[in-house]
Formats: sequence, C-alpha cells, structure tokens
Amino acid sequence: MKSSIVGVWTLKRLRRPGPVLKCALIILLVTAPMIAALIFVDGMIEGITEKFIYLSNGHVQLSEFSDLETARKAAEMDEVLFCDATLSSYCLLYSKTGTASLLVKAVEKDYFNDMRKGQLSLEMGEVAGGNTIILSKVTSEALRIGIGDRLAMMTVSSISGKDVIRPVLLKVAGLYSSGYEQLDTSLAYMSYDFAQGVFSSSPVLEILVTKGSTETVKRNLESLAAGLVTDYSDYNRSIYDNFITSKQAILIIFLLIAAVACVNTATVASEMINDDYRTIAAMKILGLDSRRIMLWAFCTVFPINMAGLACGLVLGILIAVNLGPFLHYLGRLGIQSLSFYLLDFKPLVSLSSILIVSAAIILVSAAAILIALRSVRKISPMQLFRQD
Amino acid sequence: MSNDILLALEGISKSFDKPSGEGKLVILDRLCLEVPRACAISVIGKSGSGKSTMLQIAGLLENPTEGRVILNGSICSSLSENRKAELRNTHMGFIFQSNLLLEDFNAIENVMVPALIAGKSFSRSRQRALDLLSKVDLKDRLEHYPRELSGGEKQRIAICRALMNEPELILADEPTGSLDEANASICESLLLDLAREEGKTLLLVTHNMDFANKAQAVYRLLHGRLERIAE
Repeated sequence: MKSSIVGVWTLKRLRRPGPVLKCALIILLVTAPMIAALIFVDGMIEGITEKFIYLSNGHVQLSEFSDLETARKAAEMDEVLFCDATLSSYCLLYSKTGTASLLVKAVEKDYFNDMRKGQLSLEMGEVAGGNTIILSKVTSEALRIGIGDRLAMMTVSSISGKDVIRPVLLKVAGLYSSGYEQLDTSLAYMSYDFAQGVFSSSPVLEILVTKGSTETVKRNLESLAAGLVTDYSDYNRSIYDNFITSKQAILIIFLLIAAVACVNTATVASEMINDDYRTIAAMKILGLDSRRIMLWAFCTVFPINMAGLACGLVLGILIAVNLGPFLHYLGRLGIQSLSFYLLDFKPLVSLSSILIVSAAIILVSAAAILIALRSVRKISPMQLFRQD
Repeated sequence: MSNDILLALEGISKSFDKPSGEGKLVILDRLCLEVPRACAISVIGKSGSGKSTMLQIAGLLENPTEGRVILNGSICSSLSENRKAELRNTHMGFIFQSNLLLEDFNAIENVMVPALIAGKSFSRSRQRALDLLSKVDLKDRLEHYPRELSGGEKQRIAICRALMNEPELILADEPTGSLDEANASICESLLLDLAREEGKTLLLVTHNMDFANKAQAVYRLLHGRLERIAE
C-alpha cells in the first residue's frame, strides 16, 4: 500500500493539538449559539405565523364577494380543509374597572375545529345566549373580569345605511390563551349570528388549506373571480415583512461573527507554521515540496475546525430544542420583555439556515487557512543553517 | 562530460552583500569539482571558508551566484524549487552536524520519512528502515524519539535516513562535528562502510583531517577555490 507522508505527519502533529484545538473551540462557541438563535427565530416566526393563520386570518381570505353561499361553493376544492365565515370589527370593551381596545372576530359555531384548538387553550363556561364574548386571559385580567361577568362593547353598527357608534352588553362565555401575548391582547371572539346584527363590516371567508397549497387555492379562487383573494402575507404585510427582515438581519450579523471566528483560524494556521518552521525546513531538505507541506498544514487545521463546526451544530440544536421551556420559565418569573415573544413554539430546524451557516464557515475558514499557508513557500531550508 | 561523473560543480561563485553595504563578500570563486560515481571525496578547510555553502549548493539547497550544478549530466541549478526537492528526495541523502531529526517522529519513522515522501509503501519502507537501523546497532531504539536519544545515536539515525531512498549521492556536512571522540569514530566508520557497501558516492565536508583522509580524494577549500591535496 502506498503511504502518504501528509497523512503520517498530520497524525503526528495532531498529538500536539494546542492552538488548533483552541481554534476549533472558538468555532464551536460561535456556531452553537448562532444555530440555536436561528432555530429559535425560525421556530418562533413559524409559531407566530401559525397562530395568526389559525386564530386570526386563515391561510387564504376571500372577501368582497356577492353572496356567502356562492363564495363557499367557490371555495369547495380538494386543497381546502376548512372554510369559515367571519365578521370583524375594532371595538372598545368596558368593564367596571378597565377598558380594552381590540379586534372582535365574530365566528361560526364550529370555528374552533381541532386545528385551531391545537393553537390555544380554551376554557368555556355555562353561559347561554348569543350576546356572549370569548376573551383572552390577558384581556380578562386587564379588565378584571371572568367567565359569566358582563361587559360593555362599543362598536360601529350600520343602522338604516348609516354607520353609528353603538353600545352592546355582552357576557363573558369563555377565556382563551394562545401563548402569544401580542395576539391575545388584540383579539376576542363572539358569535357570528349575533354579530350580523351588530357589526357593519362585510363577511370574510377564512380558508384553511392543506400544507403548501396556499398559492394553488389562491390562483383557483382568482380564476373563478369569486371575490378579493388575499393570503396571510397580504393580510399581515407589516408583520410578515418584519419577520423576514429580522431573520435576514440576524443571519447577516451571525455570518459576520462567524467570519471573524474563521479569520482567527488563519492566525492559528500562521502560528502553527511559525512553530513548526524547523520541521518544515527539514522536510524541504528531505524533498517534500511546498504544495504537500501546505496540504499537511491544511489537513491539520481544517478538519479540526470542521469537527468544531459539527459539534457546534449539534450543541446549537440541543440548546434550541430546550430553549422554549427555559424561556417560558423565565417568562413565568416575570421578565417583561419575554412577553413580546412566543414562548410555546416548536423548534424548527431549518436546513437552509444551517446550510448557509455551515457553508459560510467552511468557505471562510478554508480561504483564511489557505491565505495563511502561503507563508510555507517563504520558508527556506537555509534558515536552519543560518540559525545554526 | 564522462558518464563516470555523478556530480559536477562548474564555475560556482557565491557572494553576499556586506552588511555595511560596501561591496560583496565572496565565499566561492568560480569553484569547480567533479565527483566520480561510487567514490568518497572529502573537502577540508577553515571555519568560514565556504565548505558548507559549497555542499548546500551541491545539494540544491542554495542557489549559486554564478555557475551550474550538474547531476547525472543534467543541469539542476536552474530547476524549479519543487523539481529540486524531488531530486533531493530521490538522488541525494543528507547528513548534517545538527542531525535535523524530526522531533515528532520516532527513530524508525525519522528514517522512513524520505521513503514516505517518495510515496513508497509503508511496510516496505519500514522493513528497509529496520534493516538500516539494525546495521547501526539501533534495533532496540526504534520507538524512541530524538529527545530520548544520545547525540551519537541521533547521528546514526541521520546516516540511516540519508541512505533510506538508496540515493546515488550522499552529502555530509561535518557529520561527526558535534560528537565525542568515541561516537565520532563509530559514525565515521559507519558512514564510510555503509557508503562503500551500498556503492554510494560520498561528498564529505569536515575539518577533521583524520576523517577526511579516509576518503579516496581530499580537497582543500581556500580563497573560494578547491585544490586537491591527497589521493
């Protein structure tokens, strides 16, 4: 079997890992929080998006249609899972001790199907009648009321074709919690049938579709000219854009940090060349060319860095998987800023983000090492004799 | 040039700029030497006379200011660094006063390095290294690292390493210069005997006249030129 001096020398050198190991540790320490943060951000964005889709907007919205039944029929297609008529209006709620301004969504009886129930915890009381409202626990706490209590709602109604502000008395029928405080503080539910006589707004069909078929359903509805067709990103353009921008900004910042960490490997490679210049010069005397010496140095530093990257990826994923419960615990301890985040999210390991981070670290690390290794060519065997 | 000549130095000059910037310091001045195959040649001279520089030029480690190095009839001094490295690996063996053993490699691995650089098989290289180390009585020191060996043992390992790839030419620069008398005598005998046994050409630089006289021809380096003083 042919042997490789590069392989033998690399194994020998790795017995003195020293700075090379330190470099790998730095890459690990940079990669782990970076991956954890990306998974956290991806998971949270996905989680928040799903909350809005299931509890507030649906995947696709059909509005400005001529009549409800025709619109429902238009939405009957294989990709559509649920199609619910809703009415919405911004309202002021008054209790004896507090007020709240929020969107009241009027929904049909079977609106809270299993998919939606999966996004919230719902506690219903024994309150009968149509003039009821379901508040979030956050809003009920703000208004200091509970199930069965009364409150007044100020809304805009259409009377004889004119919009007028109208007070309505309601009873709290239930309390819900989505786990995302920003959504909970801005949304309440009431009966669709009752709201028809109260709200002046036109009905909107909220459509839940099978995974990945939003665009298909949108196109089909548009081709049927059934009404105005929008999707989640149109409906919540600012939220959607903020999410995308935040994710991109975080990715860029982390890539810059990763680049700095990788450049550190160039310093380590350079130090290694300086430390081993006697061996390198001796190898040159014995006939080893600069190309193979550079290959040796690369093989000594780069795989260790990649091991650091791999460990960082695993550690980052482990941190991210356990970050939700930990943040939830901190949230319960009363850290106010955490209330702006969705803490009950499923970690989403985004392959594209991991690939981008890994590719960036691999490329920058390899380039940095190769640049540093150019100094190998400058080492002359004669340096040994001049020093002696 | 005759086929019997393995190495020829033709009109070799080497000079350095003086640190003061006033002119040049001439070390070698149009030096010429022909080294026949399977012959041991020694070069003596005072310290600073340029013996080591001449050997380094002959070994393609240093470029001459003028002149050319011819190995096996081919001009080598103008080759690329990588090609010179290849020639050093396959055609030359080096022994230096400071042995230049690799600290991360043990005795047998140090001997094997030239063969591994040449891409020879690990098992055959190991067997050849084992044979050589047995000849210099270091069979029980195979796994020892240079820091665990005496000066004489290290120099014997360096001799084995120089012979590892069965080079035609062995270049030895004060190989016994740092050894005590007993060890120096052992290494001198080993080097000359092994070179003779394996039919190698030896170019030896030393200031030890007794050692130099064991070669088939002795030259003195004086004022940058060689003069033959014994045969």
